[in-house]
Amino acid sequence: MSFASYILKKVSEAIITIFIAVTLAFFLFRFLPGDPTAVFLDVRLTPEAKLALQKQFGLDKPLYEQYFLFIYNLLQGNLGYSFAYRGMPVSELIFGPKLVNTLVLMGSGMVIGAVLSTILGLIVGWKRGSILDRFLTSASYALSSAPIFWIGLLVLLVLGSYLNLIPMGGTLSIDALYADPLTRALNYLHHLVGPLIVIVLYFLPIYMLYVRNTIVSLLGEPFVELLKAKGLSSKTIVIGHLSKYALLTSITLLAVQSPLLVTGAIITETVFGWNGIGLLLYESVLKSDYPVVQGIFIITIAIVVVANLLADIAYAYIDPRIRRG
Amino acid sequence: MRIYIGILIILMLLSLVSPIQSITYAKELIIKDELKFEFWSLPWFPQSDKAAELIVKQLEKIGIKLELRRLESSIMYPRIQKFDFEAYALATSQSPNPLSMLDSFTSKWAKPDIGAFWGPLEDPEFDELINKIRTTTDPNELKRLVKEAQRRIAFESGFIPIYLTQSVKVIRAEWKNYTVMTGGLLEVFDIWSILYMYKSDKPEENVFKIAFPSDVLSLNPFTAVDLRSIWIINLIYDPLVRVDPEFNVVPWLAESWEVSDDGKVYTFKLRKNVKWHDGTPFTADDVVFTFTEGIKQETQRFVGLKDIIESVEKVDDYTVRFVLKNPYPFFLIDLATGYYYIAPKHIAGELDLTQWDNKNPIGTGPFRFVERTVGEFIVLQKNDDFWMAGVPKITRIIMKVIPEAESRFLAIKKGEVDTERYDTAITLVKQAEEDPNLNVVTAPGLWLIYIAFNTVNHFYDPKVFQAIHYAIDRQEIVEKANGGFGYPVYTVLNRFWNGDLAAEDIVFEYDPDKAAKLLEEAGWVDVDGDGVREYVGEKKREEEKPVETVVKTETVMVTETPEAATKTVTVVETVVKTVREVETKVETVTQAAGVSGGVVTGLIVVIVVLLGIIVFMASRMRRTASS
Repeated sequence: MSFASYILKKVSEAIITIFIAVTLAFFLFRFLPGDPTAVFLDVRLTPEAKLALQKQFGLDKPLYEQYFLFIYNLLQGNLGYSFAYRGMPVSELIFGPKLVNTLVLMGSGMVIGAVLSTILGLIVGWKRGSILDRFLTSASYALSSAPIFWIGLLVLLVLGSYLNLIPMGGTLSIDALYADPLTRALNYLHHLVGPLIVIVLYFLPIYMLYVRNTIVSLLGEPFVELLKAKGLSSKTIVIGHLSKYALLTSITLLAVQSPLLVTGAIITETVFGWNGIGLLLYESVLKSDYPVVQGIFIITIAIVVVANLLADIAYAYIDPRIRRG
Repeated sequence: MRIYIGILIILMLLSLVSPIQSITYAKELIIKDELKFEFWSLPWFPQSDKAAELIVKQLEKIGIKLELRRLESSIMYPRIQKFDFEAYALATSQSPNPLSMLDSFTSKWAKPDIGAFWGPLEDPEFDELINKIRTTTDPNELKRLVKEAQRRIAFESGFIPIYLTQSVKVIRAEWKNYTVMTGGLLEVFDIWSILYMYKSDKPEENVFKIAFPSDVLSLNPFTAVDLRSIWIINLIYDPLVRVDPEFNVVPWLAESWEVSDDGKVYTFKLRKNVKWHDGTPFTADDVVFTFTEGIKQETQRFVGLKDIIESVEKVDDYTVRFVLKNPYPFFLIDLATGYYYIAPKHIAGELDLTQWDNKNPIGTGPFRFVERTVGEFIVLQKNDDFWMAGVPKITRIIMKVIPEAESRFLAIKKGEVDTERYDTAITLVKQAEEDPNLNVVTAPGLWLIYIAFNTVNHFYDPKVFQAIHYAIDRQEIVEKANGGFGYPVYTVLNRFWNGDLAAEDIVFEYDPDKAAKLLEEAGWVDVDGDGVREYVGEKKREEEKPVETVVKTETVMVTETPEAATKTVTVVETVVKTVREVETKVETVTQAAGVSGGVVTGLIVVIVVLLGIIVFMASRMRRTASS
């Protein structure tokens, strides 16, 4: 198979994958119980208004017609309009401050989590069986089995309410709205602390255990024995040689979880009122705001598929054997 | 013989005295085997949820069993509106226009899916009565008819009012000069507080900060259907008329008006010194445009006027004539409290109003729009060209979204915000009262807590509803469910919102013995001694059909051999059973966690799909890595 036809094959596969995923997303949410016109209850709607609302949402049409309309719009790059935020294009809702907030939170959280866990994983892997190892490993199991909303509430309660160290929610204080850019940025970072701690605590234990296991399995390898025989100190072996493997494990994990960059941590964002995509997703599911939920999924799916496609092509470029399949 | 005649006469006399006896029911009874109902409640609305718990206990005493289930609104509302429910407890918002409540008992609401929330009376005579109310201009006659309608609803419907909430709002003590209107401080009808409030003589210090539980959904005055959005729109846009703190209609954009003798033509004189926030003068064209297009394009806010308004005409630049289809004595109060805001023709004139996103709202109101971060902030600034002289005193309003009730209260305590949009949680009120920096402002509230039975297709026996009226101790519910902040209410209208139109003579004093007697009279007796009354009367008219049988027969029809048929039936039964079990399990789990079904189902799907994506990604990574 030539390189060109290999790419063609991969691209068409990617398109089919996206199409299937998009179709699934469309029907999945419509089969959920819930009625998008029923979320507004503050003001009672007259029967006429309710029917008009259904008509404007396109919900009076049969499902297949709604589906074809959705695909037609999608092909034109139109993700539709939010039901809840009346008249607001979904793309505008997603590609705005909310996406930036999520990228900042998840990006920094994942990187800090990965770096910390690599270091800790290296240490406890090398010193396996020590008190530190036993403590950190069991702490990791405890942390990773604790529900994330509970950790979030605990952080909020202790740091926010009792110690008054972090703000109670949101991304900015009112007073910072009209402050100079530096104060504004600092205020933003101050708001970031709480959710960031939770995200790091979420990634840290899982990554650390992975790294630790990698190191433990490497310790039995002949090359480590050789390094020891060569008279290298533990420090040099760990930092100079084993750290590369540990880093590799972390990076692989990061890549696998990259969709979280966009979808955000739903629960953490909700607990801290962090105005990101996760909170948007949560609210939209609550309000049966189908277009927004679909939009977020389509974008997530697209990112995953395209990332995979690029990886496939890159691998094939480097290693011709893959092309032959 | 004489004794019998005597008894007969006494009975006849009694029937004249007691209003219950004299009613002939228009709707046929729908009877079930025993007085056992699935009873739904909304977990996040404590005022009704706690009331629901108490009602379950109170009704148990007279042999009515309510099985409480907590459901999320996105699950509950659609099922209620399809009349796929047995009974529930909820809250409904009040309006000074009595028709908004009374109309919901007319037959047109008996169809599923048009947004009805309780079973109407389904009686043409009652529909006729409401139509008469709609067109009666004589105040005394009107009062009589409105009271008659309330009486019929109270004695015949499955709608049972419990109490009106008392609004409790916490505001920072440095703010002065606010009005307290029915509905609560700073509710939407209360423009007066926001115009006259201030905390300092220095204008730049009068920044008013308010916390909302979630973001406003729309700034489009034609389609906004939630009170959060309308609260903001109310400050940017003006209606033709408003209500004063006593709910009298007062001039606003319309300076004065005349009503024709037949009550069908309203002529409004408009203010001449009004400008849109972009400087364009406001004229009759804007009013004509707003009402004509709002109705024609079936926008949520205006489509209800379709049956009321015949036409809206411009007489000259500052005069508008509304021609109504029929005389409608509530037209002015409706205009003042129905959220009909005038939109600028020079901006929205050519637009599809139902899809208008209105990113930069231009109104005539006391505040102009500055900026918005979706999901977090809205900033408004004083309109220096506002037509009313000397107001507003507030120079800037900032709305901040703070989702958690506790966090909102903390923010007020710390002074980050001045107050919050909705009532402060009852559990926090005591703390607020002890804090010298905070004021607690109470007023008759916006929410009527009620329970309703599905009288359309599940159960209808007015005597049972009467008994329930008597069996509910409303005072106890107010005390225990809402810390005493509330007023017992017995009819659909109440004096706080509807003044002397409310039928205050209808009172159901707590009397469980009377309730039990009423039930026995109606043929409800606890035969098997399980504490729930069974029906022993003779008027059994309708049997309920179990759903399972339908499933079975359908499956049998498509299978060919008898063996196969039995097999399928068993399979179907097992499947149905398993599905049920899973449903119940999910419910139990979610109830235990204090979260409701809809959210959890939604989140489960979200998480499953996310996991799918991750697994997909991971497997690909592994494949490429291993190859």
